Amino acid sequence: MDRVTIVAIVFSILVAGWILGTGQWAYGNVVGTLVNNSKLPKLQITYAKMTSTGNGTELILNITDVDGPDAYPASGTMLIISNSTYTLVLNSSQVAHDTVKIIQAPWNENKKDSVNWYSGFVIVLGSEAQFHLIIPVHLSPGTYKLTIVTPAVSQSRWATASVTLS
Amino acid sequence: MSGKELLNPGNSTRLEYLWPVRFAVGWMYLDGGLRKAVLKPAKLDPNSSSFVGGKLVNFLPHAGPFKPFLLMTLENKSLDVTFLTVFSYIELLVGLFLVIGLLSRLASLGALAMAVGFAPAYWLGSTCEDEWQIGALLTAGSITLMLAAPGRVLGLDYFLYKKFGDRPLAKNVPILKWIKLW
Repeated sequence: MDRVTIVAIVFSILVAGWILGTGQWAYGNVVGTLVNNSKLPKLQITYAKMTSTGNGTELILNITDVDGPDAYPASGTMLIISNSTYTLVLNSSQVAHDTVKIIQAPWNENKKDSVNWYSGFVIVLGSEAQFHLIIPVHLSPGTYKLTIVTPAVSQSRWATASVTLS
Repeated sequence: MSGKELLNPGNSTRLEYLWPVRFAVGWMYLDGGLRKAVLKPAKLDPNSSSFVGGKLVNFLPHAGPFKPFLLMTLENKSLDVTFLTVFSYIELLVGLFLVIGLLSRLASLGALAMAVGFAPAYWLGSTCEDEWQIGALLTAGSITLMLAAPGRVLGLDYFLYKKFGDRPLAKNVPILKWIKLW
């Protein structure tokens, strides 16, 4: 076998391996279930803390977006705070109104996470921020389930977390 | 035995036929570099809303083994800006050199490095497998060009090859002696 043939075979194997390997890694397009993590947004609550304050309840939430398109940020239009006997729903304008501070993650760049009255939480893909909310309601001590509703995606993809108010 | 006699007539492809691939790969990089470094410099300005550093944040969630490097770059603003500026000018030079066929094998190696280095973004493609398809085709195209020395025909490498013959990056250094300039 001449040198050109050997070089061609080696590089052909490398290219084919790279294409099949990265295709499988990114989309599962060689074997198994097909995936596309950039189709639908998926918000996650990575940290939650709830405390009573003089003027209501302070809720601290770290929120990130781990899936979805890169062209537009994900929205969390409603925050549901619930337990077996009580449910409090904050709509997008209440989320925007009650958010008193936003701390951006050190890796967030020029596109910042934010809140506004029509989208609620606005989270850029890959970024993370800590939202401080003062909710003008005195919640009773106990454990609550937090749910952030993302429109147009199934309920199973909504961000949830458990938090205890002592 | 002359070079002509070594060729198998049924297995010889004229380098002229590679010009479309050389132009396509070259223009992809030249266009990308021009957009950032020349046509809209705000893309490299960290204080601008157009700053492309924000794109690196989008790669993070499924960047796999590249995530620590991305985070380190993003958390160090000056490193981030330097990396993107250098990357953009390399894009521009590699693209220009491929289009005009100058140092085309070395430029193809640069193109290959960028196509592979783009892997953290391969998972992004909300309508189809966008970034992976771009990366895969640029990888294959760059390797094809790197092996074929396409600038020796319809390119400035014609003159370099005629005057200096085959030249590696360094003659007596392992690995570098296999990397050809044109």
